[in-house]
Amino acid sequence: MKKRICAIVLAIAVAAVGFSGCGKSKYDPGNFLPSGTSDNPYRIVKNRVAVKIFVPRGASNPHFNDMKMFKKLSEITGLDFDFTEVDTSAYDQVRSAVWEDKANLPDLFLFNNSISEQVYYGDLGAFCAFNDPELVTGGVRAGHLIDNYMPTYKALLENNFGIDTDENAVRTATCSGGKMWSALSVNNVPRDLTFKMFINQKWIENLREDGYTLPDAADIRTVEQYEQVLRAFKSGDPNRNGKADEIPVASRSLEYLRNFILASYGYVFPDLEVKNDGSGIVYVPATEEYRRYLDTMARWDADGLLDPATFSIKTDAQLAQKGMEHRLGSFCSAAAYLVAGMKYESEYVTFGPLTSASYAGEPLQWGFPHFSPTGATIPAGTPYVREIARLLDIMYGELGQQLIGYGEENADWAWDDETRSSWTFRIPEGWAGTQEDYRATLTPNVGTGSALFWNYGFVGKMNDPIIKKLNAMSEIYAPYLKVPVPSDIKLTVDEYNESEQIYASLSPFLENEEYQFIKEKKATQGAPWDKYLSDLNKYKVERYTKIYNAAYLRRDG
Amino acid sequence: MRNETALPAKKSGALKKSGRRLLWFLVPSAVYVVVFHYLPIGGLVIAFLDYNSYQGILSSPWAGFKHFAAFALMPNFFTILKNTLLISVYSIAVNTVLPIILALLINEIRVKWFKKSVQTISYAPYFISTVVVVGMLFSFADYDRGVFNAAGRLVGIPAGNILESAKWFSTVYVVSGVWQGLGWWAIIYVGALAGVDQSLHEAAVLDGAGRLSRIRHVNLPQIVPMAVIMFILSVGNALNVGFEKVFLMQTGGNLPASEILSTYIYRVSLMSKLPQYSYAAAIGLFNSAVSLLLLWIANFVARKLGETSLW
Amino acid sequence: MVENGGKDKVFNCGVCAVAAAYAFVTLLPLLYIVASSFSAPDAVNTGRVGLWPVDFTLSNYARVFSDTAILRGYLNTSLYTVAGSAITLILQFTAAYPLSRRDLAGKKFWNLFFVVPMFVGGGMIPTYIVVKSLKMLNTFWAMIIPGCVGLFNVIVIRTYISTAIPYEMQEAAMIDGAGNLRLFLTIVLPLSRPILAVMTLYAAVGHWNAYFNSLIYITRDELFPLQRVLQRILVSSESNLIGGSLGDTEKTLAAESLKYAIIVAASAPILLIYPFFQRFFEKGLMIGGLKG
Repeated sequence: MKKRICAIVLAIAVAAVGFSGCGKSKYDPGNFLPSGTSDNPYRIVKNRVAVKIFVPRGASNPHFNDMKMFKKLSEITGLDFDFTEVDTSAYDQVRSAVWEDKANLPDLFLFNNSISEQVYYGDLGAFCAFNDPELVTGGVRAGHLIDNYMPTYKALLENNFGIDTDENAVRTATCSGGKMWSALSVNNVPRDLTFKMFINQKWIENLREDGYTLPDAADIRTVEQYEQVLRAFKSGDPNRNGKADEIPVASRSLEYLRNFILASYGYVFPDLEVKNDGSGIVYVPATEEYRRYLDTMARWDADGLLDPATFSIKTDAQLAQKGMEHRLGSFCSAAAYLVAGMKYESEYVTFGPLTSASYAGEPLQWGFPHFSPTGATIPAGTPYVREIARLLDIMYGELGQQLIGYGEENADWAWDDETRSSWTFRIPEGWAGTQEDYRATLTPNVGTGSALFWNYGFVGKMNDPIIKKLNAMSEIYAPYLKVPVPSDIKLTVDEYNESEQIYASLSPFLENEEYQFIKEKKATQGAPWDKYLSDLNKYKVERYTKIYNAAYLRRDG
Repeated sequence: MRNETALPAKKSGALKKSGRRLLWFLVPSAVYVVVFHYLPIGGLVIAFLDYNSYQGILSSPWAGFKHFAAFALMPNFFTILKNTLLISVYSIAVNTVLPIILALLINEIRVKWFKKSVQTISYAPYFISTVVVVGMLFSFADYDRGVFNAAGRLVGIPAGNILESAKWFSTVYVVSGVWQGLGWWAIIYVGALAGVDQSLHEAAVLDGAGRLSRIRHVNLPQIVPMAVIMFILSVGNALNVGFEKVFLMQTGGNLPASEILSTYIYRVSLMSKLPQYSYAAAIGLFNSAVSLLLLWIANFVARKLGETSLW
Repeated sequence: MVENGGKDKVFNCGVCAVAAAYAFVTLLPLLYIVASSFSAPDAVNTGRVGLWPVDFTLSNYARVFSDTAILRGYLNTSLYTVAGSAITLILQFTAAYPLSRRDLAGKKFWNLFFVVPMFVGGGMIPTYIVVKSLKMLNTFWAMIIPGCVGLFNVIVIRTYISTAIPYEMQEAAMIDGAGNLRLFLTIVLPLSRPILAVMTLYAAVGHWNAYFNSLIYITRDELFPLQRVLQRILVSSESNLIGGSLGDTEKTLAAESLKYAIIVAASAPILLIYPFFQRFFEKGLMIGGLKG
């Protein structure tokens, strides 16, 4: 009996020791260095501590701890990074599961912070607000994070990140309750602010030799001219292989091509969009402009100008199968070589944006917002809130911009001369893969495109022929970019909830109607069109538009 | 048969004890069934909450029948319900009848090695995974390189992609399902036919019955009761099967015909940016209720028409 | 069998012709896939392949077996199949055996206990939440535990044991002092060999082809089973193996023939094994299935 009691006591003792051992190591507030050390302004803590960071990881990314950028940041700040890497394809699912286990929340959600999560969970107290003057979390009285620990970010915010745009950084960062739950993700690199439409200039020239009268790619100004070129691609033999295998225009499920053609009739996005006169917000698929777009696409499909496989192409690789066979006249892609391969890459040039006979206003091109409140959120409860704020501030600064772009100065890239007007990327000799493959070993920016500040002031100075060409080709769109709905429109939780639910059932419906109109030639006049409009209303389009219009007016007022 | 009471008292006691000790065997599987079957049934309570991951089951706010109402009022409610029922009815009808025919056919093959080979071949597709079968469909249906269009060209059918078409979805689903499962589903009928009493055949021959009439009057009645049971079971499971395959086969073009209850549940929960678990659970509960109703109806009809039924 | 003369010959020929046609149609897609997988990418892309390889090559297979995602999928799936089948079999047989015994305490209750969940269930989301709260998401266990017991199979096994193994045999052994475990291991299991074989095949095929659990519970690619890897390549066409987004011409153009090689490589293991189990599943399913 005695033996037994002894054993039990011993077991409890062991368990108790075990538990205390497993518990969180105690946070030491004195370990934090608010403004670095005299010889290292980037140092954040005296003794090394680990912070937990939750990140999205794309298929082409190596592990975050192996990336040059984080090795460097860890070295200079004294922070060790304990990454939870989540596959981008399952990111939302995992992210929602993380909240269940509140004892083990990360100290930072880096990149991919959804606005819906902030709207829903922000008011429940899930996040630390960056602009809360009374912020206390995890027993640490941190106060206003931006004022106290993020001087770089503060200056950038006040200066609108030096970007000349109607968009307002501060308003975008602030949620409807006045709180900034997320730090901004900022992008002002023209080649990443829209998509690019390519057309084969060589084919145009070939056809001219054959007697066609066609404009140069650079002179295609209207959708009618574009159609004329596509028709010539179809009837002639521009790829000179003697076979009628040319596909005048191809697209991955109409993605971007839709926006490109729609824009020539006056709107850039098949959902909510601000009217061109700024007087309010309209649901584009219910407009005459959208009807014209459908008519055009249906005609192109009927006449064989549009790739008949358009709706079953799901990936760029499938598009590239045709591109590399030299069969595509026109397509949309981040860069021509991705679709056409190195062999035919040089034949393609960007063109547009277009207008049309029925829309003669300023040309429009769908633009992505410069600012989005998705960069970084700090879950409530972490004592490391000040350390995280410092880390983020460094990432917004010059060093951070360089690291997330192309790695470390003089190791991975170097200025070409004293004027610092250009720099060259240094890929080690004997590197077998592509440039992007190498860049993936440095930064998570490859594949996921994530960055806190993707700054053209640095990125645009890269001295590389292909990138330079890409930059130049992208600049033709720069003056015409239109963000459909300003990113600083704020909805209340209820409004958000309602509009999300409407959108969830509306968008598959719309996707299919588009297919019916284009592929199955449903008439865009008379009864079928009226039925379509009334169906849209059954999906509560009016209510949807009203919610956003109210928010849009609030924003201006 | 031995009579238990005739055993000596001590031994009978041992037997009784053994029957109780037998319960130990059930522990692992019972734990499994409680955790993965009964617990989720209890978890259906979230259908009546505004469940969110941040607050958890215990503190999420009460929502009542809000989610059921929201689903019923959705414009595509009837489309989804119709798709679910149509795909189920179509496959059940085909999958109940064809295996019987195949079994009757195989049973008539008199050359042993040939019979065996046909059977072996007939099972093969059953062992190929759903993912691979759907992958095959996508490759075959590919607009530019698919074998369907290549074959269509030979007989002058205009090119297209059947996986994009809402019209063809249920047929593609059922036909590929038949290809995959026909041989396998015929197994138990083939077995039953092998056990048919030879004297019945002899009597029929004496009455001057030919092969066809013997199939109709001797073989068929032998397997009908079994087919009825299989039918009822498949009706009971009608709404629960097929998620994987339908989900994998979905494309933008066929969605009006391919969105079924279970794929919709997946879409609004695990596939969504902010998962609506409660809404999804409410639809799931609705799905189960419809399943039970169908099972009851099938059983009722079977009992009215014949003697075979589940209960 | 009873035969009656010349008319029968015609009938037999008819039967054989129909059966042969059926077998050919069933095999047709498989033959086409095998032929394509051994053909040059260009021959596949231009539709020149029929039922025989054109420009025979093994390069498709070489590429498939050098892809780390596929190899890891193979490895993971093999582990899941071995461990999962073991657990499935143990749970199913330890459940079925007591249910087959007429002296089981509370037999009615237990039968109901296993039958009810066959028709009523919580569905995808409540089950997901249970798995999540067990901290099973993204673990080895998520692939092998949820759904590992087929309740219908338990009933089939129970029926088989109670009809194929005379209860008197067990009773006699009990009187000789044999415990339940010994009864189970020395009498019941050896005599249930056909149903054991069927259930082993079922479990192995089920785990090898499992996709659903990985879709719902697994988000880390290190844990992906083969089927999930295949889905990305065959259904979603998203994989670096078939060109990805890297602009590699050769890879991109080889995508189709590669897909066929992948289909063959993924299905071959089971297609080569099942004929050896054939006599068991014909017998086992009959006896077990009839009363179930």
